[in-house]
Amino acid sequence: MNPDPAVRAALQQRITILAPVSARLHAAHVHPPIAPHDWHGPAARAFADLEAELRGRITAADELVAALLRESRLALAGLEHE
Amino acid sequence: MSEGVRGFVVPPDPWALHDPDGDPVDPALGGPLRVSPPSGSTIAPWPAGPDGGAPAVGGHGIVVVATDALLAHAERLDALATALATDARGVAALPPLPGVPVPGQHIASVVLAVRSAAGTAERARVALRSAIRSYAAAEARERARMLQLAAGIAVALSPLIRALVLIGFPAFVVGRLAGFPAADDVMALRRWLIAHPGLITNPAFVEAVRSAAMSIDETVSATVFLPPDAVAEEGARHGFEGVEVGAALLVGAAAPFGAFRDGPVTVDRVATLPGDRGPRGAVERLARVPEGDQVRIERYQAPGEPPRYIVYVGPTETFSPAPGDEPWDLTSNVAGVAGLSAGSIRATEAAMRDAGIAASDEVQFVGFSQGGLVAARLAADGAWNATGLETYGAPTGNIELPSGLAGMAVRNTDDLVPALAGPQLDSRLLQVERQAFAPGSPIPDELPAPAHQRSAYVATATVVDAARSDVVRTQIAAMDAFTEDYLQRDGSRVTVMVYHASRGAPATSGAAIP
Repeated sequence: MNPDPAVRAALQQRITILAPVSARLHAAHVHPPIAPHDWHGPAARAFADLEAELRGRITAADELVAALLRESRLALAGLEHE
Repeated sequence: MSEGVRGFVVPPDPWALHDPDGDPVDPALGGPLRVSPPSGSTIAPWPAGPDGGAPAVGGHGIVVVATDALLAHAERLDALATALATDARGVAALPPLPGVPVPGQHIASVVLAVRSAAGTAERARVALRSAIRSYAAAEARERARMLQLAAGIAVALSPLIRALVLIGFPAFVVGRLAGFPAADDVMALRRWLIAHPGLITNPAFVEAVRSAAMSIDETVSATVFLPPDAVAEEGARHGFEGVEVGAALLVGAAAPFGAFRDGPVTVDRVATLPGDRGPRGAVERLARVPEGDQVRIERYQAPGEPPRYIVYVGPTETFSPAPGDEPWDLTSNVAGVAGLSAGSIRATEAAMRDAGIAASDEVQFVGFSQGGLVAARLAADGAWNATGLETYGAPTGNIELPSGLAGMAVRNTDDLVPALAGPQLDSRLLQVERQAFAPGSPIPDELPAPAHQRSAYVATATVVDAARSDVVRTQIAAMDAFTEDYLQRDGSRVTVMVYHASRGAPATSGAAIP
């Protein structure tokens, strides 16, 4: 591994940026936006489809960001053990 | 017989409508809370006017746009879309790692996923707001259609009304001379209404009342062979607009029969008490609205600050059209809707002056039923420095309010009383409504107009306090903060003053207010 301080700083910056993004996406994944049940009709059905798509995209983004964050932390930990 | 608030026994009034001690109404019996945000707020479906206040909404009035739950959802989507857009920009700016690839990951795919989620959230946000605006537009069209239909019916029925007037007027005069309607007749009508609560506790009936209230001028025009707009135009020349014209006509037409004749009022301060804290939430505010004694004023003092006041105004005490010594009666109701000088308004202003309220002092007004009408009239009057207004079941839709008032107008959609003022024309104040007894729920049959009872509004206020949308919560917090701001300071003090007003010359000392 490259012990370059610039790489360590870049990894720390990545983690700083990704941690809150991951937390927000995970919260949105765990408590997904679902329109109230008392809203009915064609517009409500179209909107429900759109929200289902949104939930799917949030889940995908949550998984990818969490993985990148985890791997960035592992990489930083690896550098600090050198 | 019931015990009066001042300790004397009062006879049952066949014209009384409210029962302050009525059985509680379960909030679960009602429908969802529906909300019309004030103009200028980000989610209002109508743009703010040129002064940042109400837009020109036309004669058909504004409509309620969405449930509290749907608005809360829209607010959540707003926040989510904004946060994801910020996150997408942040992820796109991730620093490169020279010579050190992160195993198993491609940053580009991460950026794409977050951007995709942000884009979909934005589409959902826009779609939901668009749906809310579409619903508002559809309801506005339906409201306009109803009012046009009512005006058409008024014109079509004018020959029948004309015949009824020609035949009915002499019969009415003879009946009045013979003592009709006697108290027993009124009690019979009251019993019939109580036995059939579903008739008037019905949103369709309430909308019909609203349309009829707006069509009195057309009805009169057509009945006396004038063009439909003639009476409205004549009313406008005398400063009356919309439903005010019909109410003013009613006052004028009833005067020869001794009805709706106002007179001087006297006001007595019956109690001065120390208070401990300000009201928190809608239920507590409504609970402080007096009954029997008609006005309660709370003064909040903090060292080095000008005093602040909350003026609570009670509901109609009697619906008798014949004016007696009670100024909170039908006469004041009709005069207040017409924009005329009403005894209850003059009495409340006299109480405010007695409490020491100066024109520059900040005042919140809270009122139920006629108390809400009085509160709205005073908040709209430039003589007082109104900062907040909260009304329950009040016929105030035709009153144009100033911009920047905290608070809300709360009404039950199955309560006919607010409909007596016609459609909701003012859009500066948050409008909140709810059906007190949803379809299929049992309607109480102890009192007439169950949806207008204080107990029904306590149920709705309970739902208001549990609202999730920022649109509603912001206004509750603004009303609460008015007193909390002062009471958090050392040396703050609360004084409660209670007033009783009567129509007629003072019995002992003091001058009547003309």
